[in-house]
Amino acid sequence: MNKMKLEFLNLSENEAFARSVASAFCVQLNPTIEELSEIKTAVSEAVTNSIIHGYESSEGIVTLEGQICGGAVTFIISDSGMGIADVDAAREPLYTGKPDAERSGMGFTIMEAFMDRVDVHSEIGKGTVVTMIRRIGGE
Amino acid sequence: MQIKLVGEKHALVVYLDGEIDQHTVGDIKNAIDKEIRRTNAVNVIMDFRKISFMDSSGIGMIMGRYRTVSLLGGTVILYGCTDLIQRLITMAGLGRLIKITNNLDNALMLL
Repeated sequence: MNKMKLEFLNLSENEAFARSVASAFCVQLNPTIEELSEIKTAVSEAVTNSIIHGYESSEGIVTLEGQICGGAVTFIISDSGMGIADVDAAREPLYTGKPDAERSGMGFTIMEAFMDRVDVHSEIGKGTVVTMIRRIGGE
Repeated sequence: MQIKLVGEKHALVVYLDGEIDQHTVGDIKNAIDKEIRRTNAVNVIMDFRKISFMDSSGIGMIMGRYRTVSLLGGTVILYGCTDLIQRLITMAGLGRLIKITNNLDNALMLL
């Protein structure tokens, strides 16, 4: 069992920082390069969502927590931002909350493809918590 | 990032490097769009050999450039993508719109 917690301001330059920390935290499970790349991408999607959708243009804190238990890693990405009104709609492929911003709407689809499990809890005005689990190695 | 014009193919070759995410994607979009306007190129070839990471921000960037050049009768071609980046492109359904090949010579031959 291992745990870590990182808090950072919602600046887009922190996306690379957060996914690098996530990747470094996983290394103790001896993942393949491919597994690491997939996890980095999934974490980057969740952190980007918090930064650009969670807080819009106001300042806020994004939290990245990591847990290792058995052969699995869990990441919890949370913000105290505006929240998502319809989580099921947001998880649909090609859905974007910012149609003018040239966003692809693939964020949640990528998280689901690259992690074994993705849970999203969101409350309007309170924020969003994304929990993602990935088993390393095995089958 | 460097951008070169291959005049006889009306193509811009965009030599990307580093990581593509929400933080870096704005500069890439602006640079390509400015060169499209300046040179009247209608095709965009992106060199992905030095891109070590891309998330869905990059998908949006490629989609947006495709939208621009397809209206001009051109296309977008990528080469040197990692397997993971190719999977992201396929996942987004972009594989039906743009072309992916392995080097610049082959990319130019597709035009």
